[in-house]
Amino acid sequence: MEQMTESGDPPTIGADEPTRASLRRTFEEQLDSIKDDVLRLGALVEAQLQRAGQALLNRDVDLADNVRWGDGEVNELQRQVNLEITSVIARQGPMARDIRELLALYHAAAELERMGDYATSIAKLAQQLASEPEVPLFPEITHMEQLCRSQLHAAMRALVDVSEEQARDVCLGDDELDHLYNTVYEDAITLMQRTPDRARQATHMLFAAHHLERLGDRVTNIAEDVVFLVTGRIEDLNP
Amino acid sequence: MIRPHDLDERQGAAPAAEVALGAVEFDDDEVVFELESLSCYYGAFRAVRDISLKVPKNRITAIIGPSGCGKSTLLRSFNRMNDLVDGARIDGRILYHGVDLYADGVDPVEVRRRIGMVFQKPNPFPKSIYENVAFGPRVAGVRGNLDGLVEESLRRAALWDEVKDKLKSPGTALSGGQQQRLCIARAIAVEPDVILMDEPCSSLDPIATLRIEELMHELKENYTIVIVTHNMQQAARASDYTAFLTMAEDRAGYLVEMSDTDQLFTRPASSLTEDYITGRFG
Amino acid sequence: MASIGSAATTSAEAVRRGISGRRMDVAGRLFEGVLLLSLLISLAVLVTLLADVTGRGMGVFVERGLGFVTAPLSSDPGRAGIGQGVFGSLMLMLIVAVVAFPVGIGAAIYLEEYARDTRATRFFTANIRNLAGVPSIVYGLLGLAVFVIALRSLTGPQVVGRSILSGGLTLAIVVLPIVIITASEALRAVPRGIREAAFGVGATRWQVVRSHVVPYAAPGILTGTILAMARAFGETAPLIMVGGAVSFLSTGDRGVLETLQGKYTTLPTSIYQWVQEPRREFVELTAAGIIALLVTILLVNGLAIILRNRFARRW
Repeated sequence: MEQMTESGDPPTIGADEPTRASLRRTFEEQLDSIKDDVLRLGALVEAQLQRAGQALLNRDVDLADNVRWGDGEVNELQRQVNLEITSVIARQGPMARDIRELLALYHAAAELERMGDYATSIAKLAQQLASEPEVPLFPEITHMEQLCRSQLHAAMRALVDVSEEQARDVCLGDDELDHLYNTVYEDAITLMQRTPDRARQATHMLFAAHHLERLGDRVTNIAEDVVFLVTGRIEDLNP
Repeated sequence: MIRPHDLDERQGAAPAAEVALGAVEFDDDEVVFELESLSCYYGAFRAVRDISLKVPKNRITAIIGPSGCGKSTLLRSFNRMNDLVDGARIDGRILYHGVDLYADGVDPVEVRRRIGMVFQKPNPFPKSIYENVAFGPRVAGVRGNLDGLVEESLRRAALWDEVKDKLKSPGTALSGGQQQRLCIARAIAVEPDVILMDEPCSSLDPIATLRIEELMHELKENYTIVIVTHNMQQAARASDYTAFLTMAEDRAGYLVEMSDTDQLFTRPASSLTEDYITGRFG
Repeated sequence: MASIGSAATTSAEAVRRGISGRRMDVAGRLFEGVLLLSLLISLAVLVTLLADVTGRGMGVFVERGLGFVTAPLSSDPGRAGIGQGVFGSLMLMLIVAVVAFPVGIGAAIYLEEYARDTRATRFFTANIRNLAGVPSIVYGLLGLAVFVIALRSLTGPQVVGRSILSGGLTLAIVVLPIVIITASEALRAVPRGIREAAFGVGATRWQVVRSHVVPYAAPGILTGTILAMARAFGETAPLIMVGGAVSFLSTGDRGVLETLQGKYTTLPTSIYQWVQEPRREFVELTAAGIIALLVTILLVNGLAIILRNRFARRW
């Protein structure tokens, strides 16, 4: 390594090779800051999802309002991440791993923002259900919400740890999600056929489950981003 | 001060002396240099035309632009180095903390003690490392033991650890990057206010270059830095503010745009700037 | 030879054919021969000269050894030597050093470091170059007019102005343009970066010149002055004009001022004198004197080279 630098000069003691990390300290600080923001975004969305699920279960209109207001913060943070990443790419000229990481973070932030939208939609459905005669919530929906949340958490962990293995594990839970969604689908159809006056509630619940299933897909996308970051290959982890 | 309707007009014809696009405003106590319609001449040839801008304190301001557009000439007018060239003169004013640098009675030697310079090709004196750093303070009249000052300067230039055991060995025996850091230490030793850098990394390899950029980042805490560079990636990485100069048809350089570096490299106000930084000059 | 660029030139065989073998570079060889011939002719002249001189003069050294070097001038060829001549030459060198070097180096420093690049300075510099090329006998005439005649009372009232002082001053003027030119060159060779760096930390022009420019140029200036000295050592014509070809001179037991204002001879002028003598023995003396002169100049030039190399390595 020593001889690569300063070719043509006589080899002198202590040339310009400091420890690896400190050469792009400014850049690395910026990168860390962006990662922190994305993680924060992930935590926000997780919280939104949980509250939406609660609102749905407990017919809590106020909590649902909370969630809808909270979406603004999610969008704002994602916009901020976008600007930061644009700036870093323009100014620091990242290469190889660094640019894959930035692109992965950029994409993950976009996915998280969509997930936030889903959470908001679920909150709206909760409010609609609350304004109608009560129908017991399909337990699978709550199950789905919990599963989504744990998957999102795992995906964020995989992003932090930059672990290909953890990322692939995240995608394993997706089958169960699909299975739960199918169950809800059947339950909803059955409810509508048996008690047509409850068709509205059944449809709301079906939509909620649909949002959750889509949310799960987005989580898988984030996991794919992590795999891309590590390996440089784009794989479909959710065929 | 962005006037969008001017964007279309700026296609090579030299503009009149208007405020450049994207000029940044600073508070008065933040401003170190203020240029008012500065033009620099070598004899009859005008190298730089009507430049008006402000340089803020404790920040890194980069000047970029194609070769021959007068960046170095502009930089050297800040510390009156152009005085050494026969036939060089200026028009307009440069205010340094509000004082006209070219007024009668201003001593260029004193100016250069406060506004130091690092050059493109590292030029340590053919003397020992110690003597290199000690020369400046000595000619400034500092008496007595200079060991402490030399050590402090070398530390601030991130060179101390590498040379502390060989202060008596010649400065010219160091590697290129080390020599340049020695030159920085030499400039710092007279405790200047401003450090001007004229393409300091252009003769260094990439690792030495990055090292100096990190050093600049530390230095700006105590000094104001103005750097001329033809490497715009360097300006993008390292500076806080960037001014873009280009050449008019009469080969005089003029200021196209100066703004926050982030803004200049992601959303430049002028199409000329955008063409330059995206590499579409023709 | 096949022309380049034909279609079948990429096969290994074709390539080998194309690049092997040598073309007879007739013109080149001829030219090389002519150059070699020129070198040989020059060498031949030099060798003949040396051989002739050594042949004639070695006898004197063999017979009398160091006696020849220390003996004064005398009408008796068996006793005459170059002692006074050497002493005179050394005195002249001293005067030249004391007068020409400070003035010449100072002028060079001014021209290179302080003077602005105006038409006047360029005119001045051009004329100094011209002066360096003026035949030294012209300086002899100048010395005669100024030092011998006009300044007689200062330079040597007892000897009608034909003193060692006049000789020294005249030689100083001969050598002055050379000193200025070589010193200027040495100063100009100082890299611009050194000056810029010194100015950059706020040094005055004097500080820059004193601390960096002159020390850096010193080896070059030194070499230049030594070479100028060597040149002055061998000068004869101007000295003849201002009175160096005098026969008798006693050395040593006179005061400094008396010596300076007194009559003298130098090594070259001693040789000149002997050349004019018809007697055959003086031919051998002349040759011996020439040998001494050549050896001295060789030594001085060698010294200059050694010093230059030593200083060059230090930086």
